[in-house]
Amino acid sequence: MATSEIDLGRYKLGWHDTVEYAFEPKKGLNTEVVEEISALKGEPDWMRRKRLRALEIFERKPMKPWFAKNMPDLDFQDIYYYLKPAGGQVNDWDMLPESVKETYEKLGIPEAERKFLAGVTAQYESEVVYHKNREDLEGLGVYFTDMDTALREYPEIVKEHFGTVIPAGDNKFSALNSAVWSGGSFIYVPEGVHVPMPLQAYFRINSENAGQFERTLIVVEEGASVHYVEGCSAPVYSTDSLHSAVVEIVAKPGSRVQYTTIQNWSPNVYNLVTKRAKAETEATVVWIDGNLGSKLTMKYPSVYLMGPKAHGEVLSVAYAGAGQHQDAGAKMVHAAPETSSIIESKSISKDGGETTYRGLVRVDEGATNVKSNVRCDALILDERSVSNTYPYQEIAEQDVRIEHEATVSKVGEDQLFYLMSRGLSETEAASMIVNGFIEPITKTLPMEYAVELSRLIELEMEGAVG
Amino acid sequence: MAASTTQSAHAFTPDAARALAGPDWLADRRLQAAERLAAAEPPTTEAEIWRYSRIDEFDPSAWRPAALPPVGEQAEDHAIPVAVRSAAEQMVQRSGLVVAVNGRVVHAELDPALESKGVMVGDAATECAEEAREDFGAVTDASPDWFTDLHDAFTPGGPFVAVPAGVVVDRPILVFQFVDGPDGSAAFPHTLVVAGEGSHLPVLEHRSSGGAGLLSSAVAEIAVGDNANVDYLSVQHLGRRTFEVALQRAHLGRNARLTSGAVALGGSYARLRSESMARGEGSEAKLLAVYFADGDQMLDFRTLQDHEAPRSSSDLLFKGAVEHRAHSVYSGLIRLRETAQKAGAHQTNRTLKLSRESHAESVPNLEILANDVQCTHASAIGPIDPDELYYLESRGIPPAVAEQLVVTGFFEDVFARLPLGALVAPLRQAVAEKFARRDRDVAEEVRGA
Repeated sequence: MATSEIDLGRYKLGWHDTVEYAFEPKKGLNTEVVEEISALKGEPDWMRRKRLRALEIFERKPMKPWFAKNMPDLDFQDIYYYLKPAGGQVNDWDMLPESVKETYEKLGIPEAERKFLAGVTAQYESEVVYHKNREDLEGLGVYFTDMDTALREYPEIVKEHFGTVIPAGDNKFSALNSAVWSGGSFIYVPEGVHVPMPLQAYFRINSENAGQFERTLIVVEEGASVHYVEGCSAPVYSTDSLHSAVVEIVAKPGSRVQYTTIQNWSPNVYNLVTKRAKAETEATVVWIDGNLGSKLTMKYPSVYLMGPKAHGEVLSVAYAGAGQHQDAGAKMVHAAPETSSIIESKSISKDGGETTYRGLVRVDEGATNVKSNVRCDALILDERSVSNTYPYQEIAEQDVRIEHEATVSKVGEDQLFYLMSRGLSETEAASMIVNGFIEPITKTLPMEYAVELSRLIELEMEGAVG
Repeated sequence: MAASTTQSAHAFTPDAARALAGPDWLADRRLQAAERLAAAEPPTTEAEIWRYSRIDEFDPSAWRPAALPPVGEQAEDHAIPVAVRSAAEQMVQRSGLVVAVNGRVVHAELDPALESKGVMVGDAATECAEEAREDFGAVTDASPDWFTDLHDAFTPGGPFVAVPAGVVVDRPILVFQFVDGPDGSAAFPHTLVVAGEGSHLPVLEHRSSGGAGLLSSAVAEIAVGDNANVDYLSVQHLGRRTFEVALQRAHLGRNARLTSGAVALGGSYARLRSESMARGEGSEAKLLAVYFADGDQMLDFRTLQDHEAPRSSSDLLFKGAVEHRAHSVYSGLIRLRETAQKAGAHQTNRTLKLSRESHAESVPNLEILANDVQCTHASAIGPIDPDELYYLESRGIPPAVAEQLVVTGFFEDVFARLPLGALVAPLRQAVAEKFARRDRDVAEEVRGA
């Protein structure tokens, strides 16, 4: 792809480190690669067979045309599917190899820990390299670990839920992930337990042409609650990397799960993620989704509302700058009576960037007394930028209230004038307006993420006007 | 899909198209379309624009071109179908009338005062062939699909209404498109409306059909010249066994005004692509629709508000109801191109679900490539508001009457804004009658017939 379109200067997480890999990396995807990943991890046979079956589906399944349209130059055979950094997983920061440590120092992971965040997992390429769980959580019976460890230590929970919310055959990229997944977070919260602080993970791609395929599974038992936060970054290379994660959430009756993502991949990452939650009776699932980075993101977090009175929310902010396309959205499937959902999407496009909201609200037969409200607002900051909205609504029941509203506009001249008449520069005024525009989303974030998001927006807004 | 079998299996071949009468330019046009058709596959629901439709029930080999009325001499009055005659007789406030059967004009009349000012009504393939030549297809060629190719390969010509620059037509010109024949007949009604610079033209287009299993592949093109003003009301009153796929497209010149209203009541499956293209700066389109589907009907609307000119505006309001096992689809797109700075476009779809078994889909899309624009869309699907019912019932109004009032009220804001206000009363009545019949499931009657 033409790198000249990409504004390299702005991406502040774009360094890369020279790292030794424990395993000779190979490009491309075939049965041998999948077998090798499974053997290196010493997985049980059922997982090995799941992977191989998923690979068959991946090879057979065509990409949907609307999906393929966005990535004409993606070459599945030019990607490293598995990279394992030297040294194993550690839980003492000082034991990490220097190069990896440096990377994460820059990302501020130990800093986060000093702030007493609940637990931190860091994934480097394909493997989780650092994991620290707070001891008081272990006392509550909460498991927070990486998926590979979970498969070894809690195989019965993993086996019961793995692939039940997102089967390998769901789409081409979920099949790909199911075949080559590595790492990702595993969270299990027992009945009635409220995890008091957010659990956190960071994901980083370091190599050129690397794929990262983390697999996250969150199981929250009856009446329990948890908030999970993830951040992502990658260095800037001239060729593209692929991030294709699968995130499955099982929210048992009366539980509450909040999943927050601040995606800040460098502008050469294809970010193609399947995220889906199953919400049982009276459960609540909230996806908070900030998409700032990547070359192309296609991600539609969804909630399948399977039990009466279940509730789903997706709150999202997308920012697309030069060379970026944020094709994000949400999906709510109302399969039970008295379920409700809210989708709120704010998108900003600038410097020729393109934002797309693509969403679906579906009400199945038998799902009576359903309420759904969708609101999409878009700001277009210059004449080269583009905004699209494709909201689907499919209604098979009578007693439902489905509402959708959207607006597209530019930064109001009267608002700018007002702020500038109070002594703000045009850039300050514009970034204040944009921050106000996304405020309904930022206020739902933990403080340090809200601050980071506002700061990133301010950074991106430099030179936005005039 | 076995390409070779489907391509040759239907009756719509280049040879069949060649057999139709008409001027050379029309024959050439038909042949080119027939050749495109021969090379193409019929659409399937796999294609995004056919999602939710009943296109998978459409089998091209089940249809053949309908018999056409004789060409040449205008048919005598007795050739006007009785249903059309009685509908036309109610609309005495008119300045012209064109009746077409299976797409060919059988009757045309015009106020002599307008005739002397150069206004024309007639058939684009015969008496108006020279005048229609330039404009025929000029609007709708911009939006081709498999069905427009089918239409273009087989349309006999059809009603042509043209108003020269500066002429004001005060009472509406009525265009009746009637489709009839035995089961399996396919007709290709084409309506061409050209409003010259600064003219004013009100048109009613009424599409109806017989009771057999019929296919209507209709096209209406509306060219609104600079500073012209067109009011266009299209009434779809097809038979309950007619399968229709129609395109209505308008091009608007500089400071042109279009108020377009569609009222859809009939058909088994009736799909209308309703498109407006703002080509001239400062043009203004108001796009309205009322639809009511009951029994097993499916009414399917695909709208496009396309803006290439700056300072142009469009405002769309589509309201409908679904009853019994009926199905409605609204899928609309606002496209503001890079050049459409300071344009404004708005889009609203509301659907009332009157039964549990009915289905409604609503997909209001936006593609915005200009930044200095105002653009909104909204859509809502829901039952009759229980609060409104409660309010009326608490004032002693019986529940059945209260429901009737709420539904009437739901449609009233569109009816009030429809063009050709004088002709709207019977349409309002037709919708009310459909609602009043809700206890009788019409599908049973259709099957019995």
